[in-house]
Amino acid sequence: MRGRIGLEDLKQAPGRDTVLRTQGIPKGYQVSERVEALVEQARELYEALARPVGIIADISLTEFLEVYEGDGRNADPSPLPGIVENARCLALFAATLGEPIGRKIEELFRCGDAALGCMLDGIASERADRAASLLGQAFGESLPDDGELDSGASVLPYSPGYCGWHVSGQRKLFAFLEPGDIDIELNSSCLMSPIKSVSGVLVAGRPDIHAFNNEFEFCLDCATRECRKRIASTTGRPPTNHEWSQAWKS
Amino acid sequence: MEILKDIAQNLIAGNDEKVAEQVAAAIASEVPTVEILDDGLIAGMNVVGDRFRNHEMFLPEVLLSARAMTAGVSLLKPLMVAEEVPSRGKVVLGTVQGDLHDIGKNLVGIMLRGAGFEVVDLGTDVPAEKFIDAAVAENASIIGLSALLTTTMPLMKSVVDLVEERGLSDELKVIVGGAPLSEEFARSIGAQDYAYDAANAVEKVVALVAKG
Repeated sequence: MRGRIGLEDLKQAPGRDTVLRTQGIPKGYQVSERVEALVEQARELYEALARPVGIIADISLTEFLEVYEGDGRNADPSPLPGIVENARCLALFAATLGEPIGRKIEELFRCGDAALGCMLDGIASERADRAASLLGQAFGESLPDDGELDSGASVLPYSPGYCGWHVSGQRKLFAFLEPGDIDIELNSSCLMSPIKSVSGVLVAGRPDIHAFNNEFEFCLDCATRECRKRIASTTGRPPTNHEWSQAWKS
Repeated sequence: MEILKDIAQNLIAGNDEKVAEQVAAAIASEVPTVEILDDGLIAGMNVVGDRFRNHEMFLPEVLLSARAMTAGVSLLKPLMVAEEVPSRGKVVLGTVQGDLHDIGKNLVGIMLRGAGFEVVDLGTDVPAEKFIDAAVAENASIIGLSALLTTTMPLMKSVVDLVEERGLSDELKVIVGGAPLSEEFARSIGAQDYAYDAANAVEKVVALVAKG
């Protein structure tokens, strides 16, 4: 599988509650009319400016390990090599919401309207994350059902910059994927333009292959523990120590 | 003074039109510039910072208050320049090289300006040397570093090391922040402080400036 994927669903902004959640506002909190007006304004701006599009390309394990190696600056050890070795299929991906939305966010901050800028940024970040999930879902659905993958739930995206995969890995990822087709470019620091873009590898397999213990050296410096939530999303609960150790042995 | 309380209250409510109107009225009534700033605008922002920290206010509300603060400060600015009102300090801010995430850093800048600091925002993907050069050129006493990627966090140490190498440790303090960071990480790289959010960054900067 290789090709451009339209992400039509993402042209629509998320609902009010989701937008408020991107701003850290808990469910049930009574917001002012001013904040309600900001939400609507940001949603309208998003829908006027977003141009979501993605690209996927199948990749073999051997090819991926070559891409993953990048400039040789990854943390060692890191969890991804072990995860992909147990995967059923892999694909590289990239997606973007397009240039206009990033430009608008910058403009809003520059002209002092951080309230609207931040809300639009929250919406765009949520949609960009969702783009990776939708590509994962499309990838999962493209795989023949052999009983191991009964839904897209066990496809997770992994990106350079996280969990020990150095951001310089983007160079080889881009060389393989060629996301210039969807107008994403890398700068000299390996960062993507347009800014609201995501890239990485989609890993399809049994849910338990994604489980790993967060005791790598770089985990000690990471306060987000996002990986725990991601692992929980594949199994419906955080992995037990036994599960992650079994996953690594299998 | 009633008008200063009203300015603070409207700032807390994020009502920028009202804040601008009342600051203009206070100026017309010859309320001293420093009082309008300290007892009206900054007093209001201090309440906002406290409520944000206590989860009684949330980000969009804080930013609406910041917008109201800006509306008020823009009216005071010419008077502050004319009267040579000193700023509370100067902070050079930026996201480290290899990282384009800037929302957290922008929020810190907004909150610091709201608290009366001058902020030089270098943007994102900023090399270590640029932080030091800007801090020296601008005569800033604080460098604020932001990172969201775990793989760019180590670049914060390069900035701390460079401050040391150039013999600037006494006059230039480094404070770090960003979602994956922690107090322990800040300590391990030799940064003077760590802030877990924008309101906390203001507190930490105030304390660092006071220490001198």
